[in-house]
Amino acid sequence: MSAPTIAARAPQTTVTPQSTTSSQTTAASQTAQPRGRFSRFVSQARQQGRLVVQPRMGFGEIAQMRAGLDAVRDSHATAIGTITVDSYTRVNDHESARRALAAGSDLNGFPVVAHGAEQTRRLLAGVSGEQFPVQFRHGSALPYELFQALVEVGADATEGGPVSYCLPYSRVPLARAVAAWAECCRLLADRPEPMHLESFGGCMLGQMCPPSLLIALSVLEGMFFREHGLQSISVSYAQQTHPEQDLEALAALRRLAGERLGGMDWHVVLYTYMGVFPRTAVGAFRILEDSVRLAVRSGTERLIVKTPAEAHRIPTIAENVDALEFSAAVAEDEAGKFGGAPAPFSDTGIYEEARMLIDTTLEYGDTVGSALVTAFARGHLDVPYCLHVDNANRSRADIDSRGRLRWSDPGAMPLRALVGGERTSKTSAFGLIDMLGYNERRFDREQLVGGHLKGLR
Amino acid sequence: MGVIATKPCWTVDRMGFRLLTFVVQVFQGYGAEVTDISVSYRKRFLVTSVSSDAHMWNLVFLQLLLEERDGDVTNLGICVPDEVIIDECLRSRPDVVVVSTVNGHGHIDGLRLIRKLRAVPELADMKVVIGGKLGVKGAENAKYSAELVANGFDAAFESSTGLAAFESFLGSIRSKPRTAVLAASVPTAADLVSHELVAAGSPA
Repeated sequence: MSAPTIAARAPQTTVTPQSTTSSQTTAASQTAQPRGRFSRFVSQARQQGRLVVQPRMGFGEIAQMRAGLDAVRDSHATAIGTITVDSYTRVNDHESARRALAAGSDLNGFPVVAHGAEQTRRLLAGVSGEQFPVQFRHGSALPYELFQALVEVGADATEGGPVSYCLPYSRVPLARAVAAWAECCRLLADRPEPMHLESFGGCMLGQMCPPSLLIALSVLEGMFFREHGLQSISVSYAQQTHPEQDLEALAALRRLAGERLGGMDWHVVLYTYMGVFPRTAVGAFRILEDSVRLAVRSGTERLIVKTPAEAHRIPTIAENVDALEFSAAVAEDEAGKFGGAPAPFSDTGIYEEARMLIDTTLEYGDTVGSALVTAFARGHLDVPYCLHVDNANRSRADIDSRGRLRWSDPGAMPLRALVGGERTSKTSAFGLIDMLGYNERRFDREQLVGGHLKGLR
Repeated sequence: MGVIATKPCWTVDRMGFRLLTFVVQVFQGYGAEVTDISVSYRKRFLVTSVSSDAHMWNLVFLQLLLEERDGDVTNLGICVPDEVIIDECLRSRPDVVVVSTVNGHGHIDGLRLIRKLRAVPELADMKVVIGGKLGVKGAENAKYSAELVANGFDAAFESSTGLAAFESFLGSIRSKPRTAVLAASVPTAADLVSHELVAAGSPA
């Protein structure tokens, strides 16, 4: 693979916010023909104006996992199935997974390697298909054995990335994760029926990472996937604290994906809020509703939902189906209101900031992988609050008075000019707790204060 | 002092001088004591998760809290193997090791860790506490605290309502260096955030 094209360093002082525009519709048309049944399903749904929804769901036992897949397939939603892999498999401790299965202990996901390809194929037979593709979701920095099993099974799709599954969830050196993911991508790419691969880069630590870095990492991981032979990918973004900021972020992500992943088959996936989740049922459904409307208004193809059980425990199959059907109903309502036209937003320069991070990062290496490693080593990329030893952990973010995420201290990232150069005061321990609970408070207020109940009387 | 010095009587004056000297000595001693306190009050903390726990925000919070309490913090981060914790203890000899865990495996991983750590002779007296969601059974988790302390932790803070027990533990470090604090049903700093952060820490 030849070295990526290196664009000139973007001038840091000449950010010219554009008026309320978006290039969603043009960008969408730049994607290549869908490859593989996962991407075909998403593409068909988009043509029919329907949002694809997907749960987070994983059980250790085959019978229960199958019941979950059946229920999602039979739900009143345009749904893709999910098999979430357990924690032991994520760290390649397959022996512990086998012991747990033998002892009948509960696992927090489906142990693909411990069950083996034969059993996993049996699980999928008769449920997965052209009208119900299934994605395997994991969280592994070193997923070679898992991916080998997925290739053997003939899985439709999986996800992750060399940065997004290394820095937040592992102690694996970034350089090692990058090397491992390069091999893993090859495994998927060499298969005759292409497997879809989604970047988890839009969700660093779940919350408190400003949009520009989420977008940059997702697009860079997408470019890394292409560098290692993938043809069908998705780029991601996780709902944050401010709907209009999220709308701008998703437009920027789509525009940059269109520019940097040209010729590939790609789409955008949104995650319902991944941070501290509302505890009340009303609050949880409300934040889910917001994420659905955000997905529809931004022209996002696929949404991975959460359930009201999220703040308390692992959701049941029924709770997952409820969340999917609720999301499908909200999506239909929103599409009816907006008729598919992208919603306007005021431009605060997220696109320029993300593009500059991507371009300047690529100057650090001959390949996307080596550029990522060096950029993190220099603190040129720096995920706020992330404790991984290969992350500088000098950058800081906070939530401003309007609820927007912003850089309070960009560390060594080249962002000062873009954020106005003014650092805010250091985050205190309880200040951090306050910010982490921002969405929880915002969405729980309705039920806790009870105002909406009065209106219903 | 001026009053004593103006006394004409030699003996009194002499007494006064002695008193003055004593006072000065006391003050010098106290001054030194104050200096000692302020220097040694910058306790060196080692913050760490256990081997199977990938939750990060609880560790970020604890570091900020301990730094605000004038501590120097080394943060080992998530999914730390027992050997890495023990090596770091031997290398840097922190004043207090704070183990924070919220994935429900604390009673398993923490127990194994403290047994290994206490088996190292140099670390037999090191102050080591654990806190968070120590099991997956909610209120029943309290039972794990006794077991963890019995096996070598100086304190075990299982989750529930506030930060007071951990704060008072921090305050007691100097005065009661080897008192085992068993604070079942009282949360650590990490705990305050642990419950909510379970979802926030899960990948995929």
